[in-house]
Amino acid sequence: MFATDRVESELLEQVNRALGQVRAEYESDDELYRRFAAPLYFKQLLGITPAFLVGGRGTGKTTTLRSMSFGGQARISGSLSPSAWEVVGAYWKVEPNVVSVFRGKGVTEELWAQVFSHYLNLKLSSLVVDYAVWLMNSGHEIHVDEHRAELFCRSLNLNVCNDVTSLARGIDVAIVDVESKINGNISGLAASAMSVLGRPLDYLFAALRGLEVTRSRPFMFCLDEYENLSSYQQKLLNTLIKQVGGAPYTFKIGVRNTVAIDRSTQIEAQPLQDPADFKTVDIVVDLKDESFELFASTVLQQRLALIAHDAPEAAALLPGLSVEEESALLGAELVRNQLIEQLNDAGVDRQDIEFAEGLSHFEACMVLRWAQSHNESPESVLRFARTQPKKWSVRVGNYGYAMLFTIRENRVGERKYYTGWKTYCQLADGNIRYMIRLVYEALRMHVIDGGNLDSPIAMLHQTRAASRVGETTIRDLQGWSRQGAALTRLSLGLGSIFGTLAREMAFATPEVNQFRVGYSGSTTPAENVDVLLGEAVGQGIIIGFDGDKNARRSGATREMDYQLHPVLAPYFIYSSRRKRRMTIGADDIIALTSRESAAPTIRKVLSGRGATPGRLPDQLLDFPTGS
Amino acid sequence: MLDLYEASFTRKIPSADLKDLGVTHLLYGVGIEEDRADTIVGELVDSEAVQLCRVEDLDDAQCRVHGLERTVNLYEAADLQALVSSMGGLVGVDLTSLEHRVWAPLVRALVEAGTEFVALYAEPNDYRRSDDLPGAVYDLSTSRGIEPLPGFARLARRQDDDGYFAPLLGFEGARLGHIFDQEEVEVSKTSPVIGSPGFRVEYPTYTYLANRDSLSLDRMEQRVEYARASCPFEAYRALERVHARAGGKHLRVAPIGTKPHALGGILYAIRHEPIVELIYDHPVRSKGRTRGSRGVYVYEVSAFLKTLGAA
Repeated sequence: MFATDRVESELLEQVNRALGQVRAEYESDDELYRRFAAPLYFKQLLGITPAFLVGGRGTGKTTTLRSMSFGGQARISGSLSPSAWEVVGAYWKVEPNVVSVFRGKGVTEELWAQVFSHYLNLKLSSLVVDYAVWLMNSGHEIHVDEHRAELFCRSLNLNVCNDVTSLARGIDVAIVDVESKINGNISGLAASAMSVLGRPLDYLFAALRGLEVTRSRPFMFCLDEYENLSSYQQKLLNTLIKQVGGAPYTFKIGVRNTVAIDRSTQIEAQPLQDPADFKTVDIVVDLKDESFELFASTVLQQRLALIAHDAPEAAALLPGLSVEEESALLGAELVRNQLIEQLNDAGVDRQDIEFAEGLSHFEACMVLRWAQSHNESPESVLRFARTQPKKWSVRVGNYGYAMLFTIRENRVGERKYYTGWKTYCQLADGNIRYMIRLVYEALRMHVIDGGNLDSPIAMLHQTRAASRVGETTIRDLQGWSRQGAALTRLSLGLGSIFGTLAREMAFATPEVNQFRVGYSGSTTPAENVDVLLGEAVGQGIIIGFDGDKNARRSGATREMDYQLHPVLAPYFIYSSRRKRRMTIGADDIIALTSRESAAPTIRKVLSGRGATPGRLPDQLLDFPTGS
Repeated sequence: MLDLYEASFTRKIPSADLKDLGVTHLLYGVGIEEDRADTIVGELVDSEAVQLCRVEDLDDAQCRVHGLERTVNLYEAADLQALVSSMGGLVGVDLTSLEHRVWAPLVRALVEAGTEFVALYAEPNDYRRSDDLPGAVYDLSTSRGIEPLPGFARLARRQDDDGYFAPLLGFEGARLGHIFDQEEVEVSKTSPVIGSPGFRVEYPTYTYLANRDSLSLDRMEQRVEYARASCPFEAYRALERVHARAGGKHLRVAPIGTKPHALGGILYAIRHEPIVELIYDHPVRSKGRTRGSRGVYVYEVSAFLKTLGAA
């Protein structure tokens, strides 16, 4: 290996290490806390009011919730003293392999509710006792109130004990008892001693002195992946949330979208109410626009500093292009020459030719492409530009960006560039994971091509990186959710539709990239569409807006407008800017999710707008190989 | 890594030779609609020496064992032990025709009772449909989702849990991705097991392709262990190597590859409770996804376990 190759390979390795790991779930505690940047909404999570932290995949929920655990706070603050921390809490990710245990098996849901209540009591108590043990191991003194400890043990049917280690052991034994019954003596469950939901926690917090928690600075149960709980399990947890206030603990709960929040509790007609019982912190709403740019810049700066302490800001690595510059890269000069040639062939006035020659290449492209799409002669469009400069200027303003998608026709090369810090922020759209992936891919290509942190990333690498992130996002999607296959087809279908419209209909309906669901003439119930799109929003592949105010929401209602997440736009090659809307029927939305009907539905939707698709993604084509 | 000095407990035989194995009871199912599902029972149906025990799902907990005329709850250890005690001689478990959720608790009961048994598996000739091969969109919604196999639930505190994970890989990358997404497993502490040599020469490549996105995370491809796709005991040994590298800490094993590998994973979990935990997602297989059968494998499970000594 040559010396320069070795330097590049080392730099690549550093880039991989600093930016290649983008999921909090995949990171070790060390990496996570070293890189932690407190988001601006963090303050909203403080205090005893329970909170749902709502954010689609990749918005940073897990990082935030894990940072609130006692281990996280100790690492971030560098102090073993809880008084130096912003919060005191424990993290619990709700894993399907655990919560799915409490269903089926010939056991009634009523009994499962009792068993799960008991398990919740034990599990939450174990988190508190773990914290107490950690405090003791860190040199703090924990005093156990004997009477309260006895009440705690009795409430859980544990052997009575009055020291922290024995309490921890007792809880472990009780959980094993439940486990062994479910595994090999399921009929014994009904006769098992259970506990009343929540009661043991009240006793436990009263029993343990020295936890440094109060009602104004409560212990926070940070539960992640709330949607993994089944309906009856959510109801039980909601009941606990409803009861918060009497003891020094509360809940901060991560959930992907508001549709997943079931508000009912065990007490009929007393659902959770916002804001009386909890508040909602919507990460993407909170992190929009400039505050996201600031947050993204901070996070990336921390990561780039792992490569070189004097690393430039990410924005400096990502120069952008004006539309004029971009049109030049796309081959505007060739199109402009075609225009001049056609004008000469048509024998138009010298005055017009000179005007055309004086136009920028970008505007010359506009003349020719407009003429082609509207079946007008180039000279008539040119004359319009010359004689009505103000109107021409408005036209260029309205259609110029959309025209970029049409410059490179039938030639090899990029059909659109996606470059610049602002564009990358727009592609990420509040999703920090997408932002890191975009910068990582671009930097990786840059380094492989011999670049380093002193030189800006080439436009081509920025563009190809953006396309690759879109492509890998689609590919990963299958495994993200039980509905992954449906969401994959939906994204491929919508992407093909918007990509075709950008290529073929730029001048009829420029930058169509949003949709509203039409119910007229459709038989699909609104609920089915809401569930599908709610899941798509939660998985971070679709974004939803209030149809009238254009304000962002994380849930789904019928009045909403939707857009495929901008991060997918470079893969399908259409505008990532939030622009025009079309209506897609509810039946068609559902049809896009199925293997058999996706491809014909794309053709149908496009033909309704006078367009025909190019080659459809392979994954949407049905090609049985056997007989 | 193949240990040339270790006795082989895996044999491939012509299906016609099944009669000569000395199996006295055959546990088999009817829930899997593939050509090969009938291969094993088809050979033994006329054999008077074999008691055919068709296992029929009554619901998600209970099974009716025809032939022995017993109803067994898969979540009742006493039921399973009584079933095993009622079978003398050499028991055969047909992995081909039974779902994991049925054969795994049966295997566990046989192991715990010290019963002599073999597992049988008819190798598919080929996969029939394009959507069972990499590249097609894999539909997780057809599965029951991640849920412990009967008898293998883990609620207790995991000792020494650093997120070590050993998935036994198959063709469906989405299944691995889903487990990464949902469970507390660490990518940097994941060592996958790939079936190589495969049932066919191209299958290991398919496995790589299908899982390439996950394998590229944190150099996971450099921690891959190989085990013959048709051999549960090589898979068992591969897991031993992974577990040794993990310092014997808590290890999650996902048997999402071949059925022989799943058997290896489940045996490993049985022998290493509670430090080894299984993660399984219960896929529902499309009808007729494979065609034909190219021979039958016999796995001498109880003989293999004897060589390991006491757990």
